[in-house]
Amino acid sequence: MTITRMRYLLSNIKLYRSEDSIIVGAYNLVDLTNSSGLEYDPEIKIPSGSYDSLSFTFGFDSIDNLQSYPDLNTVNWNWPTLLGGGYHFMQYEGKFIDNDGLEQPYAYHMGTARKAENVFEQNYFNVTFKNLDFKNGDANIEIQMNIAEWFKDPYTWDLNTYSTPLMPNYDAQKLMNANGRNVFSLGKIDQ
Amino acid sequence: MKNILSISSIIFALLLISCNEDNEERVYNPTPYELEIPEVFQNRIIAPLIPSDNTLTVEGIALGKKLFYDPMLSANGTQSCSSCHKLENSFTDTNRFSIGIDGEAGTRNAMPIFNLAWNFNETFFWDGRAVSLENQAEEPVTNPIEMHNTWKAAINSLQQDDNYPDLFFDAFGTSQISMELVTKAISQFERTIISANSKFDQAILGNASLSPSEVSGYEIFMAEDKGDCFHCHGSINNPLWTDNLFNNNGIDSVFTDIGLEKTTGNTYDRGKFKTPSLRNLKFTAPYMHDGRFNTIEEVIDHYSEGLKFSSTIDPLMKSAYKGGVHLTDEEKSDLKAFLLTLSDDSFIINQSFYEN
Repeated sequence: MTITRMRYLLSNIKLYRSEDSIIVGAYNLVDLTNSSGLEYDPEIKIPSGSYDSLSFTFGFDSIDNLQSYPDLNTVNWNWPTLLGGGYHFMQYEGKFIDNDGLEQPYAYHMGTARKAENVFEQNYFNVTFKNLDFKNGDANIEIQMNIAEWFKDPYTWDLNTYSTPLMPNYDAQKLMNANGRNVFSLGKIDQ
Repeated sequence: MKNILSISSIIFALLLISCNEDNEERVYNPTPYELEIPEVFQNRIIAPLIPSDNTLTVEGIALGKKLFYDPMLSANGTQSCSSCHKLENSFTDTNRFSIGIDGEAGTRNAMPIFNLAWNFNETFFWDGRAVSLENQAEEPVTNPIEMHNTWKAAINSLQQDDNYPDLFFDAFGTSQISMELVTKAISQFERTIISANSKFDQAILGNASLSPSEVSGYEIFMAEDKGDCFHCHGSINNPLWTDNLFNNNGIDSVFTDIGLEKTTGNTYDRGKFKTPSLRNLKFTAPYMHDGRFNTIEEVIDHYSEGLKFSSTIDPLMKSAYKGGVHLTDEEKSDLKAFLLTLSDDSFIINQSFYEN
């Protein structure tokens, strides 16, 4: 199996402290193809204090997905209107060897799920890391993504069944959403 | 001997004085030029890229245009940029391969010129070997199968000209011409070459309506299980109609021209070529990096049933083992109808791009 492209979008990046939260960033597109977006500097100065949780949305929630983002349009990140519009959440592409021994493409593209014509389901999910021990200052919080997990848990992905096209495939979209819940973990916090 | 020397010294000194006097009369005061962002680009895509060391000026753009149309840049004075980049063809060549000054043909189709200030990756040529517009403009002058000149000779010709030294002074504050300033001026002109007035642009702005066939064609363009063109070629949200990246679109299984690999040295880049914009297809035939297809129908047939597998073929080229997704005749016809709405008839008669 090969991976030739991996891009994904995180949004609504928040830090929490006792009954208070601050949004530190609107969105960040990570593109492993050209190593952009791997580091993210908050758009605001974070108020001093201790924070105990961090959360973000994988993709855009229903409100943010309605906005227009020229930088994302420019890199062709849009999701077709007939599939619910807005933006891709992820593009994960490459090739695999199918059951007949042939090298075939897969395009694990995630976004809004179309259940039927003009019937759409939101497909983003939120990721929260609790028990964070973080005091602001010059800190670096590492978020890790295990890209194998997208194919593993809870649904063991069979590329012979789901390779491409997956964007209009409702079942595939919901399975991506389910499998995405365990791909992220908290790495090192340098401070 | 001594007399001759002193006479030539005097002449030289006089020349210097006259030059100085001339420059004292000419004041370097270039007029900044603000690129007008087309309405259809505003709020959809990010602002164009203008390098801080080559900001646009009225004088620089005018000089660039003069140079673009001037055969003086070629070794025998017969060929200009515009010989192969013709306005009526959206600044490309109807020949599959352009013919250089010695009658030799190249191996790739000339690329059209428009909206280049929105090429945010700043890689130019089919194989991305130039890293800025200025850098791109260096090569055709010396390429042996194009203008076949040397920069030294080209600069010398310009420097001897009656007008150019003053025009360079007006644009850049020096009448000492250099390759750097020539390519800067040409790039300034090229950045003003904007196309954003197609039927589809007008439809986006609410000033035109598409036919049912054109609408259906756009839906095929946007459908992953049909045309799936939008991942690389943009959409209503990115009316550049290109991602400015490099892909292997399945036109060969064995490569005589390895494309991007030649630039990067990476075998994973074999057979990848720049995604061209789909804007102005009406004027830019033939198509593909080697101009192998003469019609839009042939291009659509290629993606529909002519795909050839290779190890670097893009994963978005589906069903390559059976040639593609096999669109119906009606789907092909609708797709073509939509593609033609991206052509901008006003662009190819835009007076500001004509030779003065």
